Amino acid sequence: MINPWLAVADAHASVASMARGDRYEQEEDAMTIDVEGLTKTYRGTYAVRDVSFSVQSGKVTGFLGPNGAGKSTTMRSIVGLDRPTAGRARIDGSEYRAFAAPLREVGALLDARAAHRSRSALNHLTSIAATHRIPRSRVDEVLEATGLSAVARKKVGGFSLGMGQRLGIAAALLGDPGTLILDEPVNGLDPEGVTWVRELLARLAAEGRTVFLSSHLLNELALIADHVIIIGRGEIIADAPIGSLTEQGDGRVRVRTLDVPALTRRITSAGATVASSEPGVLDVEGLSAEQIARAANEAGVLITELTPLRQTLEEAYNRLTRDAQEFVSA
Amino acid sequence: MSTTTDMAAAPVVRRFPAGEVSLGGTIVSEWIKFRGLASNHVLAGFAFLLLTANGIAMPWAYVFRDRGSPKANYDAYPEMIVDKTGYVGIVLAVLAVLMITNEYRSAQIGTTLLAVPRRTAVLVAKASIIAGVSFLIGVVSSAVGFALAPIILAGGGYGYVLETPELARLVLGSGLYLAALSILGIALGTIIRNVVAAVLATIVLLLIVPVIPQMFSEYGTEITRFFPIQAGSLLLAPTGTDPMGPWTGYAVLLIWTLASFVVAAITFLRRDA
Repeated sequence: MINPWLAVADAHASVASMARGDRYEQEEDAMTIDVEGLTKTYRGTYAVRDVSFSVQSGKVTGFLGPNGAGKSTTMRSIVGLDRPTAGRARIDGSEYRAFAAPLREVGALLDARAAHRSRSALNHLTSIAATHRIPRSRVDEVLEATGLSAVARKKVGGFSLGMGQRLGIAAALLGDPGTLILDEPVNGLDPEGVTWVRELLARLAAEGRTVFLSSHLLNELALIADHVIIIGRGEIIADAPIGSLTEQGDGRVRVRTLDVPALTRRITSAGATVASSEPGVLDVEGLSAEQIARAANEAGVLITELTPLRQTLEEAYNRLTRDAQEFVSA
Repeated sequence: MSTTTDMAAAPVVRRFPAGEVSLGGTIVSEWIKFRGLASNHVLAGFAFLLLTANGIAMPWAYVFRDRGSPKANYDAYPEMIVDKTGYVGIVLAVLAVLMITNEYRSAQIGTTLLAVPRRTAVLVAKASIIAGVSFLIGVVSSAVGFALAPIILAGGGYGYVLETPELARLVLGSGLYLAALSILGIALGTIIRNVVAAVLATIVLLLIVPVIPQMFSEYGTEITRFFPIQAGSLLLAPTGTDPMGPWTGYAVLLIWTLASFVVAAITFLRRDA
C-alpha cells in the first residue's frame, strides 16, 4: 500500500502550503465551506434566514430539505451567484470572488441545464476550460470520466436530464477542485448513474476534498452522504453525522410472545404502556428490552422476539422538519 | 502547526495545474462560445451578405438607373457603397443582444460566472468578441464594395473621385460604426436580460424612438439627429450631410454606447445571476 508518489506529493504539498503563506493557517481545517449568518430575501420574503454551518473536508456532506427550503439559494450564495442580504460564505477562508483560479478551488453544479441548448458538450467544456487555460487533455478526461465521450459533439439540447447532470459534473471536475458543491446532482440519474456518483464522491472525499451536495430526497442522500445538514423553511434544523439520526431509539420495544394477556398484565403493572400492531406482537413503551425480558421470565411467559425500535431516517427527517414548521408558525 | 493533525485526510493531489483566470482567457472562452453556436454564424453571415450585396448593387443600380427620371440626375458618389450600413447594423446589435440574453435563458450565465466571478471581465470579453466580429464584417464588406464599385461603374462609363483618407474613413468607419452599435447591443441585453424584451427594446430604441419627435414637431429632426444610428452613420455619409460632421456624429454614438455599457456593468455587478 506504500505509494512513493503519494509520499512525494505529500511532501511537495506541505512545502507548497508553507510557501503559499498563512492563508490556510488561520483555519483549523484547511478545506472547508463556512457559512455565517447567511440571510437572503427576495422582495421581502426570506429564502434563507440567518443560516450558519460549516462543511468539513474528507467526507461527503449532504444538504437535505424539501423543495423551496433554501438549498439552492444557500449554494448560489456560497459561490457568489446570488448576493446575500446579510452574512457571508467562505471557502477555505476566502470568498469565492477572491479566488485567482476559482475552478481550481471549487467545482460547482448548480443547474443541470446550465448550458446553451444549441451548443455541443465539447464546446461547452472547452469554453469553460479556456478561462483557466485548462488543457484540452483534461476536457477529454472529464468527458471520459463522466461517460460522455461518445456524445461530446452532440448538442446539449438533445441530452436527457441524466446526461445534463453528467455534463454538469464534468464541468465541475474540470479544474480538479478541492471543493465540490453540487445541487441535486443525482436528480434524473438512472440507478447505475446514482451508484457512479456515489462512488465518485466517496473517492473525491477520500482524497481529502470537501464534497457538499444537496437533495430533497432523503433515501438518495442516505446512500451517499456521511454527514447531513437539514434545512427547512430557510433555517438549519439539523447538522449531524447521518448515522446519529437513526442510532437513537425512540424508546419503544417490539415484543412477540405466545401469551399476550399474561405479558400485558405483567408489564402494564410495571408502569409500561402497550400497543399492539398485529396479533401476538406488543409495542412496549416505558421499559427497556432487558426489563421486559426479566418481567417475562418472572411471569413464566415465553417471548420469541425482542427488538428495540429505531426510528428510520425518514421518521427522523419528518420529525425534524415538522418541528421546524411548528417553530416557524409559532 | 496543523500539518500533523490532519493525517487522517490525504492531501488533495492536483494533476492539472489550471492557470489563473484572466481577461485573455475569458476572451478566448467567449470566442469559443461564439463559434459554437450556428445561429451566430447565420446572423453574422447575413449582415455580411447584406452589406456586401449593397456595395455591389448600388453601383450596379446606378449604371442601369432610369436616366429619364429627375431623381436619377446625380453623379455617382462613393458613400453609396455603405449607405445601408446604418440600418444593417441592427442585425449585429440584435446578435449582440442574443449573446447575453441567451445566457440568461439557458442558465448558462451561472456556468460563465462560476468560471469568471469578476463579472466586468465577462462583459468586456463579450463586448470585445462582438465588436471585433462586427468591425471585421464592416471593414471586409465595405472593402469588397470599394474594390468592385469602380469596375462596375466604369462598365457604364461612370466613376467617382475618392481620396485615400476618405476611403479609409468609409472602410474603417464601417467597422467602427458596427462595433459601437454591437457593444450597445451587449449593454441593452445585459440590462434587460429577457431575450424577447431585449430584442424588441433594441429595435424600438434604434428604429422607432428616433422618429417619434418628428411626428410632433418640425423641429423633431433636431432631436432625431442625436440617436445612435442617425448620429453614428454620419461617419459613413458624405461630409456636409449634417453640421455635426462624421466624427462628431460617431462620438455621439460612442456616448450612447459607453453610457449604456456603464449602466449595464453596474446592474450586472449588483444583481443576482
